[in-house]
Amino acid sequence: MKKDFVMPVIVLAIISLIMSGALAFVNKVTYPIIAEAAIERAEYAMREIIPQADSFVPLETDGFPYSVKEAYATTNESGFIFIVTTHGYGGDMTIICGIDPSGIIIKSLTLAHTETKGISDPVFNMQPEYIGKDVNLSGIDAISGATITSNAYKNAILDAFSAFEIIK
Amino acid sequence: MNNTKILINGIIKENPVLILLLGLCPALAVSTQAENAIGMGAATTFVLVCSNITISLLRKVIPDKVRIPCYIVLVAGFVTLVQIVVEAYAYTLYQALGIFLPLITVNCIVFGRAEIFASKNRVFSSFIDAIGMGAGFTLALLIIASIREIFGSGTWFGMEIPILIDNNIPIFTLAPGGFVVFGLLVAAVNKFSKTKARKDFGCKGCPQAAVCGKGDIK
Amino acid sequence: MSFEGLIIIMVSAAIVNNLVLIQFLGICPFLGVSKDMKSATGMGLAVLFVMFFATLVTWPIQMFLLEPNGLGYLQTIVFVLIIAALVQFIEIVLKRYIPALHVSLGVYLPLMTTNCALFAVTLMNVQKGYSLIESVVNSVGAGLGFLLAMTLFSAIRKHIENSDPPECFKGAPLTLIAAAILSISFFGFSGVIENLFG
Repeated sequence: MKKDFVMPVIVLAIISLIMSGALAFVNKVTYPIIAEAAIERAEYAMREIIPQADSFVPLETDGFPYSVKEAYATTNESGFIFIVTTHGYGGDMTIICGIDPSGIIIKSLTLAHTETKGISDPVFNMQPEYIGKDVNLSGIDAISGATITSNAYKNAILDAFSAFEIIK
Repeated sequence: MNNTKILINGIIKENPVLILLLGLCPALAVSTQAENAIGMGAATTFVLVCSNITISLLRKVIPDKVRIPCYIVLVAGFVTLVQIVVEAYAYTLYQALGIFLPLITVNCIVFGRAEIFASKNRVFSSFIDAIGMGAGFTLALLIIASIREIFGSGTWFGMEIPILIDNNIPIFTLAPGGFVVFGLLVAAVNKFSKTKARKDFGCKGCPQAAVCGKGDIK
Repeated sequence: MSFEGLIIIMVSAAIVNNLVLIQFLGICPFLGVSKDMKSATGMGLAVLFVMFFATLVTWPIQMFLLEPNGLGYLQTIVFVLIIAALVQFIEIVLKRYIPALHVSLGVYLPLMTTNCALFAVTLMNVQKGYSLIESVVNSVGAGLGFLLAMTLFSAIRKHIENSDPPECFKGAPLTLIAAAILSISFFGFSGVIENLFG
């Protein structure tokens, strides 16, 4: 009876241990690669938004709109970066938006989205139109046929502005 | 059964997705692009091969009582391995597969083969079985994904297809498109296959059946 | 975390991003156990029930045990094992203390061990960086969405059973196409969040 109970537990424990050990090893080898790549991707996206920035400092997001997930300031005061996640048509949509200290959009880009290919394309094609706009976003209209996507995008930018109001 | 038979069996006669109707979550979810289908197929095949080989090797060591937890640990371990490697070396694929990469752990096919085949057969046969089942899974995914990508996005493996690229039907890439395409494929298989295709969903080949021991729930 | 934020998470998990119909999670039980209303609701309730407890257990383990010690890579193994153990535990507790509930959910509990919807939701809670309260709200929302999809679909299947399609469409193919139509109807909820809370 005792043997029936002990053996299975020992075997299971040994298998778990060996498996965890193997994973720990693989993780140790690949961890630096993954971490480096992640930093590179984030840096790359932020540089694309504010090329003249020297380095980016993460900011506390307390009090920001719920959708603003990350915020960064630049050390040479060339602007702020906001990473905003909102609901689009097909699911979450993450955009990155740069606002300069005087409240003008430097640039905005989509980092990830699950919007319908084809239908939502006009929304992402008009991203350059946001450049140079202030909080009023004058001249930016919803795109017919993709109202939800374009409104989600617009709201994401507006959320970035409300966060900007708090930290500027 | 000889080894060639085992191989063909997995790809055609008992194709896990199209005939046995197993592993449908990943089959429908990541089959929006042919490229992702291949990636998912390769990842699943790798896990299948590893788990089948180890479980077959350990089939005399693992006590029957803790069989299922042992399989869980082994499969989850191999899945994590794939997950880490894909994240490190193929980040685009990692993002495209998203949550469905860790979910290979609970893929019915992997558990089902462990329970039905690997725990009862020699190592080499188990290896062949894993290759066959993996290839069958990948093939089914590729077929579904090709249809969905060609009509939904007007591309195939990212290559633009003239005419269709300007007249794509986006719903093919969304959830309803997945259900419809798969439904039509199963109907086609039913129509043209000589082997008797499964008409319904049930517990055959499902690891859960082994866990719950209830057979079909009526 | 504002109350409005929680409502958004709940509605989005239950309806807009419905587990089964939009995200393709838990397809196996959705197609396999939806033949009649009783088993469909039983399965749905069991998922909801276990999802709630699984989140309560997995979230703290990830946040206080795995992450601080740099063991994030053990997440998959640990979560799957915890869910398997939890399911056993819940079954024993129900059997002993709430036999009535055990009678109605007992059959479906063992199926939870390898339920991909359940596993996916616990992973998503961590991935999305939800707090414990947000995670629980998300899980309950997702569970309710699953229950809703199961119940609706079982009602639809009753009618399919009585229809007379071409031979090759009988069974699975027709069921899948019905699922597609139900899924299309759920796409009608897209944008609800923006218009209600935007």
